Amino acid sequence: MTALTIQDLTITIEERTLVDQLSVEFLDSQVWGILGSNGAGKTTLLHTIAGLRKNQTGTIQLNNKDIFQIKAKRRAKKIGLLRQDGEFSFPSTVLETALIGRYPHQKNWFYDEEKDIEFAKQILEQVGLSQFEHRTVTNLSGGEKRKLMLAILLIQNPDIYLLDEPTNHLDMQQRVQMLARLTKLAQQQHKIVIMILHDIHLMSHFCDHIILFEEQGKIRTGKCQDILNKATLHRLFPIYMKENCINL
Amino acid sequence: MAKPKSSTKLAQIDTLSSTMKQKIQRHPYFLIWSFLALTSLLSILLSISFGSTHVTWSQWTGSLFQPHSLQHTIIFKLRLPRTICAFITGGLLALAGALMQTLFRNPLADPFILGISGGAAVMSLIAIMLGLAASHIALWAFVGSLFSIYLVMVLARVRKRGWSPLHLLLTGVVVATGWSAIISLILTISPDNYLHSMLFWLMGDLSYAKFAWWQPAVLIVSLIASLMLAKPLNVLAQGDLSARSLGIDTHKLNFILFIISSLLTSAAVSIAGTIGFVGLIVPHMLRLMVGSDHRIILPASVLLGGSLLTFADTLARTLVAPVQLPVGIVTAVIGVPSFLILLQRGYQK
Repeated sequence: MTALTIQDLTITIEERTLVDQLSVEFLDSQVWGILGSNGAGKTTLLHTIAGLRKNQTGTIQLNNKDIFQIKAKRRAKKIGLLRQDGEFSFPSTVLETALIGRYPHQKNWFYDEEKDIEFAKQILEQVGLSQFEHRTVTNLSGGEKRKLMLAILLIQNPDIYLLDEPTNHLDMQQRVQMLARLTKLAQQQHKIVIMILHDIHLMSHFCDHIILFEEQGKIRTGKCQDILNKATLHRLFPIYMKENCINL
Repeated sequence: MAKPKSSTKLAQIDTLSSTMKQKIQRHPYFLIWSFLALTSLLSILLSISFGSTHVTWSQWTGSLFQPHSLQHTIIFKLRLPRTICAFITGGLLALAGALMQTLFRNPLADPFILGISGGAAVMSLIAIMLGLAASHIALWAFVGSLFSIYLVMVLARVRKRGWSPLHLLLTGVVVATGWSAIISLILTISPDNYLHSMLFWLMGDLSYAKFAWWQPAVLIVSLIASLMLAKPLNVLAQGDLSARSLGIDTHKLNFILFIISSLLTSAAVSIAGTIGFVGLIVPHMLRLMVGSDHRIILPASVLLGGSLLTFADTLARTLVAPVQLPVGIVTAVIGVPSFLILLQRGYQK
């Protein structure tokens, strides 16, 4: 049983409060969506939950232990992050790149164990990249790079999946496939999935809980049906709601 | 009878090639290691065999047993130490380049990007102006480069945040610009009779390089240390955020990388001045040929960098013999076109 508990979390950057007194508990098998306008602080919150930002007040506990007290490599076995941008600087192969996901689990300082390579190949096959194993990452398309980033996270195999706009660069079919895979993962392997999405349709379909960024650090959390109601959405995204006939 | 014989031979060759194929498939880097070992050996043999004085093959082998012959002196007292110096310097520069490229997450970073060579250049030009011996010039260059590393380290440190690759890079570029202004000033005010040696030093030259045991020691220790970091470096190469979320202390690793690569550059600069292109081109070539796994790239850089510089130095000594060219010119002449060809092929892949 995994539980990630946030208590009175406040994040302030340059005198601007992005998150004000947030308290929420994430339990396993739950799929959380984070919704909010650009610059609201969604990514900052995700990085803070990942243990990558320290300048905040309040506590974040993983199974009753402060996440900043857990050693970085050990924490990486529990919490994984899919970053927003997906560019690669060096021309490594898809398999080489995918294998970095095993780093927190590896004991040998030099070699990759056969079981890790097999696991990486298996995940690459699942995300549809097995035919590109030996291709250079810099030659992949935007969508393929995104799938590779997801593959790295799946190979890391943490208990808590934090995803920053995971559907970027993917076509409609792939988006649904990716989100369905993550939902299945949460349900079957009892993982916690927390992801930033901008598509209200997808969010209402795949997420059971929502973190909604309202104005000036005010955040609402709760079940999807309680948060994603027409009145709230019309108030926060009036133009979008007017132009799109959203049926929630 | 001939037919079955040739078909048996063909079958043998076929079995041999399929065994080779299996071997290559099982060890995907078998080919690259064989190629690098052969290139290293060939570059060293060529460097020892050729020079401004012609030494025939029989004289070469004969000199092994005649310690007082002229050929023995030429080969073992002059060419061999210089060859070793060239190989080590090439290895130092290429390894420094590979590490710097990972530190800055940029395949176009080179060992001189942080202005380390600038500090070394200023001190060695002063040493040349004072008329000091070659060994003293190397020491002064080493002190100059250490001072430059210290300067960059202190100036690039941002309060509370420590060192970031971007701050290091910007500080390094500004410090390098400062050093180059001082170099221009020294060149302007120096007497004419020193200008030739100064220009040779600035272009990179192995004529006065002296072999010392610390040189291979620095290379081997740095290679072992960086190989121990190879796996974290593979993760770091995918970006700071990815590396941190995979459990790597990127501040610590960046700092270690900065220190190792700077010391490697200092060592190379104090042996042979500022030899360009090796540190930039060799790791980049290898990345295009064999991918970016640091477990391969780092030792392969040492071998290819060493071979390239040894080969370039042989050309520098022989092309217009008895006149010797600064080796930096030759590395540029070899490096630029081969780099451009590889780059074109790499993009077409």
